[in-house]
Amino acid sequence: MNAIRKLVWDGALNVEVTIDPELVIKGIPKNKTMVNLRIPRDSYIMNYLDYILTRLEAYIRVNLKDLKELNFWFEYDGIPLSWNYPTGVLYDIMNTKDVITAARDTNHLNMWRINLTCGSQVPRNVIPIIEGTKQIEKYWMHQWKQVCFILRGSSKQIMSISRKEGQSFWESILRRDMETFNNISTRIIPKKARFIPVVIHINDKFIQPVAPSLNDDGIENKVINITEGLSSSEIAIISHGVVIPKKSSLKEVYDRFLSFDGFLHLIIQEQPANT
Amino acid sequence: MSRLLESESGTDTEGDSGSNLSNSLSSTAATQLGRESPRNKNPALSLRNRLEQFSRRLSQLDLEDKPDQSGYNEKVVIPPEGSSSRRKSPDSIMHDDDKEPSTDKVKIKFQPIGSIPPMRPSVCKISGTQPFSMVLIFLQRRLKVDNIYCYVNNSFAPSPQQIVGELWRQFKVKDELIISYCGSVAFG
Amino acid sequence: MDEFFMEKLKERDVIESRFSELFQEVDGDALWKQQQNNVQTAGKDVTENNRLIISKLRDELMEKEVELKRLQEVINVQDKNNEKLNDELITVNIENNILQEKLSSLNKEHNKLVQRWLAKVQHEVDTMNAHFERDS
Repeated sequence: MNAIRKLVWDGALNVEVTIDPELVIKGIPKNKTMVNLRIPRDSYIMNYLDYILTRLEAYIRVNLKDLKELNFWFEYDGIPLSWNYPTGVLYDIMNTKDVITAARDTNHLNMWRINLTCGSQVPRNVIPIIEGTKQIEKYWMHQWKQVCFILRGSSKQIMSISRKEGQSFWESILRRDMETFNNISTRIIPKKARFIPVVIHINDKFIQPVAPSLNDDGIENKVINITEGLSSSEIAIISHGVVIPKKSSLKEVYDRFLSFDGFLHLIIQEQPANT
Repeated sequence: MSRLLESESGTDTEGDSGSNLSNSLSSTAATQLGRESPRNKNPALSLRNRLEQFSRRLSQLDLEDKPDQSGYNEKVVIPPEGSSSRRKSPDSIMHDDDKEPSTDKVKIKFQPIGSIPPMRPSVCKISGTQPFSMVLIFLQRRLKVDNIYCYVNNSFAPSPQQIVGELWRQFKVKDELIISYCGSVAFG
Repeated sequence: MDEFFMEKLKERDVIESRFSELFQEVDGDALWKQQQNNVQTAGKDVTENNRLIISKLRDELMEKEVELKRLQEVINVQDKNNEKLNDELITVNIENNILQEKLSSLNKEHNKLVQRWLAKVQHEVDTMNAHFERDS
């Protein structure tokens, strides 16, 4: 199981970020205005904003300090990305087809082309960031508090984590330090949970269902039990780019595939009727 | 010829009153308006011109205000506009919630923390299909405060995108979702 | 079950990390430090002096852009004024034309009346003269 956690933690995507042409000095060739990055699936994409801007600083027409006034968000194919979900989840929502019919061709390059856009107002599905990375950290911490509450029925466990530990918990996300992350997250996650924190992404919506780990008869709930009735067509359930068998035990899948925000993100892909 | 003279004198007087108006306006209004006043004193501009100019300026000010607004709204997301069917009725916010009984209304109990005024009926019925951001906006309007921080069960702040009904199902205590609210950060 | 997941994840990684050498890994330590200190780490290819110049130039660019916006507004207002003046001019021209027409028609009438008056006076003179001739 640790090996699976390691693979989930280490999963990363080839991402090509192109910056908003409005921000670029005129006459700079387009290939200078993008960066190619390996972004971990299990991270918030917004954490990489400052890094990307710094990398492209030489071609940006204003000083970086003046950019603080603007709101930034990422877009794929013109669709704004909600940064408050893990990068891998956003990718799997947008690129579900690739996951299932992945090319075996060794010349096939898998990459995600996204744009970094800015403006005075954020799109509707994006939470505005006004406190910089501190706000992201706080948001993430509250997600964990919620996770703790779902798992244990109270958030006492997470309250017992000291400020310093909380800091190093967040640090472990940025530094990709799996050991620290595991040390703290395993203290929050109990061996036996009554409810499992799950977010289901279907079409452009997300659902946070009540997902007991055991059903009324005391038998372990299966993944299929919480996705039933969401779609009339045949579905595939994806997490971290992998198809999850519908009959898998929910708790077991959670223990293996939970994201860095403590939730299990399941992406539902509706299969075309003829296949 | 006489009409021409007449119309000229007409614009003159109008111009005078206009510049008076602009003076009084610019003295009270923001510096940006004040900056324009020397140009406005030019009597060649007719009153109508000036009014147009002001209305344009006002609309510009309004535009420039918007980032501020989104800033002070803190984490509030602007209600989604028919982007998805589940969240399609942001306007039917709970002002007259008692009038139309609906099956998916959920009970929310509001608890103040610190020096913030209490809600008059502490329990409200709110449509379960709303995102949580609507609750934040609702509280801001009802209590007439700029900043509001909400916590479920005294422990965590949900994401503004989360659906109230789902929060209720997951965290209700005796059929009520308990939300404590505060004017400043209460649970870091 | 675990073997199944292992296999699937490895399969995913084969696809998703192909050509990953073209994509730069982000140094987590640097990212952490950047967010801690909120400082922008300096690029390698720009010297400190150039950096200063560029930053000053960018400030200037910003100022110019604000100025540009302001001037654009002035132009817009002036354009409106221009339009108004043009309209006024056209109205006055039309008015002038009408008055001219009126003037020429009045002139014509005046001339006619003068002619008729002259003719009348002539007639009177003639009759008077005729009387004189007859009486004398």
